[in-house]
Amino acid sequence: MIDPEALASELDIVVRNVPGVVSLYSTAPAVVSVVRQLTEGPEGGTLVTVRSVQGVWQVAASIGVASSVQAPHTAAAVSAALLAAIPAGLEATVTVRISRILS
Amino acid sequence: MTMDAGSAGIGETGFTLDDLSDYLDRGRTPAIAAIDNSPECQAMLASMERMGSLTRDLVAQDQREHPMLEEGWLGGLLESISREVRAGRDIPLTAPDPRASLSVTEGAIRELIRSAGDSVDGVLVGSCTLEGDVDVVGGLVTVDLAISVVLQTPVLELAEQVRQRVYTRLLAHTELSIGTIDVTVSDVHIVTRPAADGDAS
Repeated sequence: MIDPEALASELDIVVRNVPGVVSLYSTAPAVVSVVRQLTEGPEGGTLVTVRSVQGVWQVAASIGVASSVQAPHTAAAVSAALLAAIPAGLEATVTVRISRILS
Repeated sequence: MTMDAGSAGIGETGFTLDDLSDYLDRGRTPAIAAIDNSPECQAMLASMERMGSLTRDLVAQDQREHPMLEEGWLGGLLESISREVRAGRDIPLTAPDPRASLSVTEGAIRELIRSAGDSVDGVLVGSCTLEGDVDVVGGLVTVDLAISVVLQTPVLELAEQVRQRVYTRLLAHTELSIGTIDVTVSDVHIVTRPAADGDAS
């Protein structure tokens, strides 16, 4: 049995460890982040989103990348790392969104 | 609040420009996760810091000689930036795996363009628009920039430096086909240097 929160927490670390990733942002709507901070404290919650829709696991990450590496390469590396970190046998898709490119 | 990016605030976090300005003044402490985890808020804070650097240089000269640096000009610039930091459209990138979907937000591209322009000494980007086929990989786009300049280098030279830097960064970080990059100088600030000893007055 997969615990989405636990998997999301692991995937947060996976994304942060990809070379070229300098920040990870919330994929949840901003209002959810605000409420989450109020209820869970400043460190509450994961930033990568994991959910199961009709048996397919959908993973979404919003990242900030370093301008020293070509942004499309970093996005591809993040998607590869996420797919590799998803437990074998699970049907999954990943969405990687670059939200900032930082100098 | 007079400088608000709409009732939902910057990046729909509910935080206004004034809130972000206060957060910056406080050294971003205590940390507010809703701001720190919002790319739109982070982009706005980065722009505020770049603006602060240039305007400090100008104000240091002699604020009385620079009426254009009045609050209205800065406020207008901040409002323009706050509109442009919104995530906007997702611009697709080539995905190496059919299970993956990759994109870069329009807001990220506008911030990239803005920081490229602002990196030219004496330039502050006022507005930035991206037109064309941003919804397809390799789509043809045009970029329009309005810049404010401090007149210490010929305007044409500054505009060309901006154009080159924007082009180089777009080439590195997107898969878009860049048609034209149009740069309009919308404000010119003239910096007067104090007369050196012995200069004719």
